[in-house]
Amino acid sequence: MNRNAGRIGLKRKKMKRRKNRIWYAAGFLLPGLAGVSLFYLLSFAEVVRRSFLQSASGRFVGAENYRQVFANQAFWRAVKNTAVFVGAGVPVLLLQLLTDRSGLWNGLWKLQIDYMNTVWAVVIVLLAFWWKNTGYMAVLWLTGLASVPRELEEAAAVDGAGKWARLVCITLPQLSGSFFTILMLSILQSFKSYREIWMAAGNYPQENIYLLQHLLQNWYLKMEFDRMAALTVLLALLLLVFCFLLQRRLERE
Amino acid sequence: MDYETGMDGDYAVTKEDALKKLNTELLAGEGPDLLVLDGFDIDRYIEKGVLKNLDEMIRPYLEDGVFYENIINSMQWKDGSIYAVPLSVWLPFWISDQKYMDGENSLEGLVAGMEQARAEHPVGALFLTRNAEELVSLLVCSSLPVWKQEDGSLNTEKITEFFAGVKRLWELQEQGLREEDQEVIEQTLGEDYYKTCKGMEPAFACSFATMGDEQAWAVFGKMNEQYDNLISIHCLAFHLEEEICYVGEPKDAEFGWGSCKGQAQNVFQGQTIVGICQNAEEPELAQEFYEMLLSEEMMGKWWLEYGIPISRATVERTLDINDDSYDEYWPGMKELYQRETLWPDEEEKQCFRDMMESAATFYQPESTLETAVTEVGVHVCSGELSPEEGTQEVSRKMMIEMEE
Repeated sequence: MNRNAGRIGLKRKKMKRRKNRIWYAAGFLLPGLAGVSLFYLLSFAEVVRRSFLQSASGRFVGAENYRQVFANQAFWRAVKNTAVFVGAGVPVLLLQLLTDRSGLWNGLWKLQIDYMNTVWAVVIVLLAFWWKNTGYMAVLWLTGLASVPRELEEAAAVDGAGKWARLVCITLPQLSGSFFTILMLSILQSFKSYREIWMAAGNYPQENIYLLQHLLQNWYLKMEFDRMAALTVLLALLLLVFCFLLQRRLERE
Repeated sequence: MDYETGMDGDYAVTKEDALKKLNTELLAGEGPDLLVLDGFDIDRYIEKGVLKNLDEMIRPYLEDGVFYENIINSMQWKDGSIYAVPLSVWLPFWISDQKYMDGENSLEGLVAGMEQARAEHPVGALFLTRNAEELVSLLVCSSLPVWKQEDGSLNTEKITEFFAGVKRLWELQEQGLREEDQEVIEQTLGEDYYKTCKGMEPAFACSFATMGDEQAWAVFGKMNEQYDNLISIHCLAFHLEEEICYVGEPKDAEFGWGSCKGQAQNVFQGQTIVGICQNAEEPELAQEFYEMLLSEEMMGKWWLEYGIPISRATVERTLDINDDSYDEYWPGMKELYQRETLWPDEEEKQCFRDMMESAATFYQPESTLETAVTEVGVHVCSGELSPEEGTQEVSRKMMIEMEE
């Protein structure tokens, strides 16, 4: 009986401590969450609402705006180009850091052809993206590499593991946290590359470097707010699902 | 009245910034009551329900013949209603020796005239443009309205024809152009005249002088002002005589002017195109202000520097001039020039009236299509691209906008 009462008391203490911790955490999180809710989530909720309305009349149109986005040829062109850009830009950025190949493309910048108006435009943009982001990402990778316990590698070496085995079995798994952060930052950076493309080629660049941001910008100028809202919701959903799946996968590993 | 300009540096720096800010304000229901729509994609603003239907306000003016109904009617949207009206217009026109102007009123007619000019004057510049880009830019306005079909697709055949025409014109120019002619053009026009003046008064002033020296035989531009401007109807006659025919030795040429030949007919460029916002905070006040802008009193006053007013009576009043009006407009000039024939004669006035009465094709400048054609036109003129290849390149450049 006494033992049970003792256990219950202990449990209560633990629960109380846990509750306190939750309140502490909430106290820290609340200001940030309030800011995010006010400036991002509420605005986004408004975007979601507008994605079901006609911009001029405010009439409810159901999924019509989404249908129009999917039926729009420029949308699919921009999706393809953005996917290529993110797909080609991000892995190579990662690969580049791991294999230390920075500076390889410097010679290409000296060529005297108007590449921004040819199919090479996408290569130029990618090169600029890599060049711009390599230093930043290198610092993040180095931080991740520095956090890998040296003892683990040394112990594995003593056990007879070769360089490749140590890389695959120790270094890379230890870098999974950094990998997630760097991947997400790289994706965000790749979206920001629109600024450079816009500066170089304006609202209607060569078709291979026409990104989703161009489409959004041009729709903004053309007052296609309803379609913009629908596209924004789709993009947000895509990113959310991607982040969620990636995080789950990394957690499992 | 709270008057706001879009690109004053505070509101926005670029046109895109200004439009984005304006669009955001309109979306939030906080936009202006009246909009000056020059350079806007007006159809888009009508389509999106931003502009108020002005039929009720404008139609009575048309019935009374107050405004040039050809101009107002050409602003009708596809539903037959009017949502925006230009308060004044510019008319594309050109000056040349009359014998080169007499042919067919088309781009082909223009090319034929210049071919004749080149045959008669094998050496020297034909027209005062420094490069192919300037030539293409000056000729775009009188052809652009026919480059899109009713369904919004590009009329590639017409664009190819245009490229073939300007290419031929540029070839003719280059055939007789000597190094010293190029130097004269460069010296006459200066470094940046074209970018800042774009077919305006200084260009014509230079052109008159150059034509007077038989160094150029045609000049293209837009008739845009009244009274005290070299290229206004009131001054053309005088300057054609004074600057070209009587400076130095009398020339064996009879210079005249007329509507610029191109693929489209009766083209005009709207200036100060005004619409009322559908969600105007004070719609009645906005309408009252609009009607004040359209009043005879206002038409006759402050448009003078912005274009030719759409009010028939105002135009007629300004044409009804005589030597007594001289000092009112050009104080002291009469003594300076000591000339009797100053004002346009009845024939010239009628020619101007005809241009105004027939102006019915609205040209919207600075469109993506215009930019694309001008960019590609340079390569067509230089021979890097054939007219057909040029059209393909324009189609490629326009593809994304069409898809959007």
